[in-house]
Amino acid sequence: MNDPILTLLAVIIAALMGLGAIGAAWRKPAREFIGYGAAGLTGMAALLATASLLLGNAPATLTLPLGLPGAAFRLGLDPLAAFFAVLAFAAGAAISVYAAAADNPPGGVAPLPVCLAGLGLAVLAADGLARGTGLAVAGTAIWALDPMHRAGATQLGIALLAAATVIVGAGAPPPAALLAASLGPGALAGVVPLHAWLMRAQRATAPAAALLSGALVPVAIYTMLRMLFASAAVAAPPTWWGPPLLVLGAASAVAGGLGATRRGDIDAVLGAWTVRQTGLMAIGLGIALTARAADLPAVTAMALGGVLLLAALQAVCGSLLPLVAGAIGQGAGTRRLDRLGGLVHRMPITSACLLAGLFGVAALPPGAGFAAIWLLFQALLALPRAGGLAFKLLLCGLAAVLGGAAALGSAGLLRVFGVVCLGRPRTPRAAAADEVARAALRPLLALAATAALLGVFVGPALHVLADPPIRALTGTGLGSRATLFGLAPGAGSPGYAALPLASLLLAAAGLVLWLRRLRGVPNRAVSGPAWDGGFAASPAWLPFGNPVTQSAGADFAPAVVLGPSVISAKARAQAARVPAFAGMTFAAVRTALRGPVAVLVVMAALLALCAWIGAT
Amino acid sequence: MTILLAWFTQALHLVLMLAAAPVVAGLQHWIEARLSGRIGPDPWQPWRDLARLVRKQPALAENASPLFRAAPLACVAATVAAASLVPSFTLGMAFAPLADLLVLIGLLAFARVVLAVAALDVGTGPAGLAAGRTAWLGCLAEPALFLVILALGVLGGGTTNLDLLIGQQQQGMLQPPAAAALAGAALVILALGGPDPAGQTAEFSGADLALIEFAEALRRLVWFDVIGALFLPLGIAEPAAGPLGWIVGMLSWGAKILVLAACLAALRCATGRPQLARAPLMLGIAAALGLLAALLALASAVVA
Repeated sequence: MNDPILTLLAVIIAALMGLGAIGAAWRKPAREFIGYGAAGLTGMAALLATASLLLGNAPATLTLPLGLPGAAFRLGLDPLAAFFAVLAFAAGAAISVYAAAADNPPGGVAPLPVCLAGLGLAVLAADGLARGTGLAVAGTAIWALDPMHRAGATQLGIALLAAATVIVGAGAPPPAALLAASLGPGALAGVVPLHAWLMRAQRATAPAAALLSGALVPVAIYTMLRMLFASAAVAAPPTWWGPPLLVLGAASAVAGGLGATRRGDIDAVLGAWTVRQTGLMAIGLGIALTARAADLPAVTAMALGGVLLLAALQAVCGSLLPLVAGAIGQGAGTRRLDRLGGLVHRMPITSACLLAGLFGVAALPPGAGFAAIWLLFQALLALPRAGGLAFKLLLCGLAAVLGGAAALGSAGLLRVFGVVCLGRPRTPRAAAADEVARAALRPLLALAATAALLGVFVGPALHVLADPPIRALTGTGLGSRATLFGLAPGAGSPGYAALPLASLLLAAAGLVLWLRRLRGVPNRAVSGPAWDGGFAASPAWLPFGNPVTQSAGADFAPAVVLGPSVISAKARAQAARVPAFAGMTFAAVRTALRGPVAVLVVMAALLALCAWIGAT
Repeated sequence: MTILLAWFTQALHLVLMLAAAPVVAGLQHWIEARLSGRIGPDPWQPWRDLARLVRKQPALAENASPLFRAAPLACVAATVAAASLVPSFTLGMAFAPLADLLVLIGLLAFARVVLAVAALDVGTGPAGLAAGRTAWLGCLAEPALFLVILALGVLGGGTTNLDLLIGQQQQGMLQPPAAAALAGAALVILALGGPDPAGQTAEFSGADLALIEFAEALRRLVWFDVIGALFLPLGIAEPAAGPLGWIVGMLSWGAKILVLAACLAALRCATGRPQLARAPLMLGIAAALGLLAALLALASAVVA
């Protein structure tokens, strides 16, 4: 049962702890030493975990010589743990390189390797005590990276709560308690109604925020997967387990998507985006649970494929985007949307990375986010329809929520990228923005390239990395549903062909480019002032034009009032401060939105009436 | 041989779509003008406009980024890719395994987003306003579209592939769920085509503007084609049908597109261009219809 890879991983975790101790005890060692040291160790660990996945090693365990008396920590390496170890360690490596090169967190970089060690422990733990300890260590270390941050204490509290529920949940309680216990990690991942803290906690310094959304959130999802799927007690979960997760996930996806089209600074927008991704993952978990209760392993596998893809995407884009936000804050002096603008000219590489990260999570083909939504929709379509009217309504609601999440993703991409990187600078400081150090850009570029490749090669990626854990969880793998070309709902049936689609797009673009180079088509453009509807150029004392005539990101999504928990009064006041277009608003449209809401409410009431009559 | 035929029909289909797109737009304008008592422009006018635009030298705003020149290209590429996926006169074309309804919606959304990115690039007020409006409308439209797709997918036995769905619809056309889905989809398309697209394109000129106008015409034809092929799959040739079947398919395709364009023109003539303020109500009703379609489909699937 002794696995050399697991032993090596345990040694690496211990070395990371040692690195943190060196950094804490001895303030001298340069940031570079700690950062690059942690990056090297985690990079090695990620490679080892990948090797374990590829080799298909048998599950192994290892008892550590530490822990509570009579309850020594045990580590285990099975395909699911290996998959999430790859995610957490790879994200950790990129974040460490960035921390070494660019940012100087207020708490020093010493907590960084400690956090990575905690995450490694949480992923590789074979018992609840070790897993809870790992989560607690990781949460505390993230707090220590930025101890002055206002939301840090809440984040610490939530992490400790999740650790406590994991430890309690591991004591093999009755299944009902297990579902409740899985909501501790759920809160850590930002599932509604415990999501507001995540949007605030993203305002920490870049490495802390990136660790939070890119490494801790996937690990929290992993913990939920462990509690709900991997333990022997829940081989056949009760039917009612799925719907609560589905409803909470749908609420998170919509609340996060709406937040991303409304919040006033990049960090809060990214936090909202994390909530949206978590919501989608919770929907996937709910679909998988429902399918498992109905004994449909193929559908379970498909939904879990969506969850694992979203988790990988969160590890890549969830660490890329906060780092980009940090780079923007450093290079342009602010992270507020209404003080940025035009960064594509001054910070082209950072802007390209921002676009790649946003495109990855938005649901546009051929991005990976689209593949994930596609998989979830197919799993939804394959769910049994035998339930009552309430279950059918839930299915329809989920389809609409997936559509809404996709559209809100596009709107969020357009809003953040458009306001931050495009247009005219809104302040002199933004006009004087500069790229951060080249060494800090490298991890950003690597993560951006990974996000793009994950979208195009989603089939092979899932086949190689996600198939072993899914096979271990459900007994049936993705198999021929994930091939070189893309994804399919069943063996041999047509599906989403990512690679041919990307080739088709490139070929069409090439054809048009060729047509544009024909003789007689003037290709070189003359440059001049913007036409702007014929308005005169701005006076000399407004070098970037009149700031209020440019969109600052208001009204990119319909205003939907979801109660005070979703949008705090403060955020609403902040949104009101963001100027719209010189007084032009959608007030009339907002009023008109009552129409469809009324239509839907009446319809739902009628359906409920029908169901009631049918039931009696 | 089958593969060769599939590629041949695919190429033929694409050429047909690309050539017909501006003509259909012109026809719609012409019918609209005739119905409101004007002589109206020749249906070939959009082609002439495109040829004129292509010969002009583009003018670029000083602060435009490279994305601004790339956007028309990407917009047209995505729309052409979408156009190549929707069957017109025959099933079993070479790209049929790629033709997924969700992918189609995604490609059209991609084209929309790319254009909005370019609109935000120069930083002028009206273009930014129009870009926000695009995103805003998309947020209301896509839930309704996904509901319609759910209904069709359930009817089609758990697939979202266009060819399979059309084959299924050919067995029994316009049953109640499909009819509700058709009404919902038509409302969405009407509302999406409502707001004036000119706001986003004010800064474009020359060949770039020609590309965008072509993409707009092609996008409208793709929607007509989706409606025609999915809900009224009359005359679409089977994969094995020879040239005779193709000719029948082309004739019925032309007739369907003509009727749909005339319907849209008549509707525009009677009610005017749909107002943005009315779009939420239209999309709400579309979502309700989509919900109805999905529920009917789910109920009938249990019985079956």
